[in-house]
Amino acid sequence: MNASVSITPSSTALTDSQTPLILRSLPNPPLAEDVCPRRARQQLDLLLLAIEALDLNGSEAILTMVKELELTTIIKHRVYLWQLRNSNPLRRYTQRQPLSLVEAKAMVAITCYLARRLTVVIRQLLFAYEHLQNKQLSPEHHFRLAVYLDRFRAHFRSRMNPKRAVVASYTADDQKLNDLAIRLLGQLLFCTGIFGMQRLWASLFDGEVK
Amino acid sequence: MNIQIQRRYGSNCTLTLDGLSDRLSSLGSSDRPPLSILLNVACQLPGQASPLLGGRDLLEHLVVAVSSYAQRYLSGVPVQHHQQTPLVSIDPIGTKAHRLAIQPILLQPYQPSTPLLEVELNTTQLFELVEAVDQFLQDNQTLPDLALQVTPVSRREAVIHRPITRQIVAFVSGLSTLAIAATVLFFFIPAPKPIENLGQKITTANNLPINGTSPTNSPSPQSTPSPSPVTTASSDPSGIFETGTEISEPQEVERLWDIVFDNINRGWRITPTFEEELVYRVAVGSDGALLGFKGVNAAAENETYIKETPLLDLLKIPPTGGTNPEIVNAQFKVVFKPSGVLEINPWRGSAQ
Repeated sequence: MNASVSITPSSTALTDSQTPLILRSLPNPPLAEDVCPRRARQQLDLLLLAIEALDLNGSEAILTMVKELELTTIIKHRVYLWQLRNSNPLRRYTQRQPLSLVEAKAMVAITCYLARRLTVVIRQLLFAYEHLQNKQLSPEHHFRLAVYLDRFRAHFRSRMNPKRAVVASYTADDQKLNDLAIRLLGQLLFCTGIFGMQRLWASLFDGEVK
Repeated sequence: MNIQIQRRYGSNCTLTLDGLSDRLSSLGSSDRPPLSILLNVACQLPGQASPLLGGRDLLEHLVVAVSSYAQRYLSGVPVQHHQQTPLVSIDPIGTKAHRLAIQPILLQPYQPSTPLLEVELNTTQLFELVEAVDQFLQDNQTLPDLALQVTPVSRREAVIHRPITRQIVAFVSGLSTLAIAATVLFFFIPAPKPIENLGQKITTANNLPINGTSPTNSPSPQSTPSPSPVTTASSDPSGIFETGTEISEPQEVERLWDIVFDNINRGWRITPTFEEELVYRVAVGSDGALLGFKGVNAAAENETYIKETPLLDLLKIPPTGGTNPEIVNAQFKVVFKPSGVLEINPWRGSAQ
């Protein structure tokens, strides 16, 4: 048994009075620099991409959630959100600016709260997918699942940089993009959990800290 | 006097804890008494006929394994098991299912002949288990001494599986012009006067025969250690490629890999005019700074082409004077492709 088990908000995060309350349960990881590593930037954007594929009004829902969670001091406006999401290195118009930890925390909170709102549909789609898998049927046999996958593939193709080898390897293969969409769907399910926000946050830095 | 308590967490997957409260003071109060002594736990997994039964050991190992795996599911970064055969483990089966394995020693009734218990869970079932565990962890009136710390997996603990090749397209645009890769050139940053020396190297390089082949009259390498197949002129004044101490620790190489990738990718701005890929062997210091590079193929040694790459700009001048053959470094194979794709792999083990 690992001796040190306690889920407690980080005391270091609490010292920053500028940090919105909702983000204070997310401690700063011991990184060499206070900016997000590549995988974190990529993952946060892809999870939001999956949310947009689930919800027709996903883009607006993200902005609405920014206001609801009172994160407008961090994500000031639509263009700023666009810039943050474009810190994903796979993006067609990727931004070279770093993603700060507090910006990443805001994106984690938004993702998890939106995922919670979409809990029912996320569960339904995963259940449908697992059911079809067991029967060795393709996802097209379930209307909503097929719509989600179609939309995800379209979003991915239109927004990611096709000149990148890794993007090209996805866009050339519908099955590979479907697998990515399903994996993100499963990850969104975990984001809906009791400690989803803390887990998603910590997971962004797995293998990156000392 | 102890009071007996049963607490149940989860819906489709349940954890049922039977235990005692040893707080006499809580009697008669409206608060829920704390369950502080666990007698037994039953874990009813989805799709299983009967629950798993055990004591505190089972609960503790299950909690740690489940929480750790939930994080792994989110990050995709596996963790090394501390024990060779962990008492409770969860591992992926392909990309769509998960195998929970529990050593029989944790289970009641224990029989030495009982085999390892293995249960296959799909993702929603796994999530049900995570939620049951998290509900229990959230309840500070049940085994308050047991809570879970959510922290990122360290570099040392992580088992990182990288794609074999890391590729990216640099931000270059415009038309490529025809250029012939011919000059044979070798760059290395020598200490202590690298700028001047570098200039000299370029000058020297300009004087090399432009014939598309490796010059036979260039200083020959003293030795070419495995796996170096470098065929170029190889005056290596500080000897970093030959005698520098190469970092072999995978986590450290991994960390430097990220840094070198970021630096080169960020610095590559000029539209390629080269029509065949440029392949370099690059050495970086423990701080990620570029300490030296040399061309592996002929095109890589063309002076014009080198200037299209950010390698010269990124070269770091060592602070100490004199050559230092003991410089600790990690080496990478860096490939600039005419299409704008940048490909970086650790030198050792890369297919050269």
